[in-house]
Amino acid sequence: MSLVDPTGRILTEIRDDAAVIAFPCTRVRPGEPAGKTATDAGDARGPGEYVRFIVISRLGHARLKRAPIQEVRLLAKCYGTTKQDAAALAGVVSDAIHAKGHRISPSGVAIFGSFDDGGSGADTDPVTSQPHEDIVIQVGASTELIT
Amino acid sequence: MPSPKVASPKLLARRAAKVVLNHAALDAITRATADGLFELAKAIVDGADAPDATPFGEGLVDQGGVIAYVDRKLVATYSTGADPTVSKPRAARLGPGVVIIGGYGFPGRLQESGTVHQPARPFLTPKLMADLPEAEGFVKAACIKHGVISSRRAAARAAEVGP
Repeated sequence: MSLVDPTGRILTEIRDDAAVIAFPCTRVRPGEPAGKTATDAGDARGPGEYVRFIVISRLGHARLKRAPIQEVRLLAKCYGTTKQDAAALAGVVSDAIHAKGHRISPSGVAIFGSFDDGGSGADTDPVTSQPHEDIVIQVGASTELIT
Repeated sequence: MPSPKVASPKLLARRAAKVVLNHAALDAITRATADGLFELAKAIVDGADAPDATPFGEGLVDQGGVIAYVDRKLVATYSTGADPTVSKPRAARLGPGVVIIGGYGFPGRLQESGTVHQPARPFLTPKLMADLPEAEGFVKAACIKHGVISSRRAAARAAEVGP
């Protein structure tokens, strides 16, 4: 059985969180921002056109040697319209996942706990200069699907 | 059997014993902990697969470093590059006790966490997560080096705990 990646489950929890939706931020992406399409200008835009979006990336994981458990570290890059806005969005994302206990997704991804493991304050993207604040998310999860 | 009404002299003596905090030993333990964690951070920074291979040229991640503080005082620095200067990141907050900061300079964080035009390519966190479980070994070795515990006692403890 292959190693389960809980990133998708955490992304879904952030995307479906009522406070994140109400912020409002509905653009939650895995790995990279969404690109430009015929109907949408994409997530990453230039100054004066910033929109809020969140990019979730997997930084690394460590498996326990004698139990089917892994610790996964994710990075949530929370892009806002200003530095204050980015910090507020990061706070809402933190509330969505911090100190949340065990749960099993319908597809069998078991998460024992997730925590906001800190960040480094607001920063700006080197390409678009859009402000963002990053938070590291620590996730304890099963390495196998629970069926 | 009913308990004796008068406490035994042995018990009284134990109560009267004065506990003196051995500050010298505590300092030695703190120094050893800082030393061990500094060595751990060096191993992580040295072992990280930094995207610094040559023919890519200028502007890449080229220097890593470790910096150690004990009670907000700088005690050690380490650099992987030619420049021995290691600066504390602005965002790092120093508190009481041991603080060890390790990582790579600009543009390391852009590689590690990505930008709007490139995905995250973490090179430091995987090594950090692989080495963190070994932290106890680094601190133990430093404790032996500083004479806080003997190698014989450390070996006996390891045998008690088992592999």
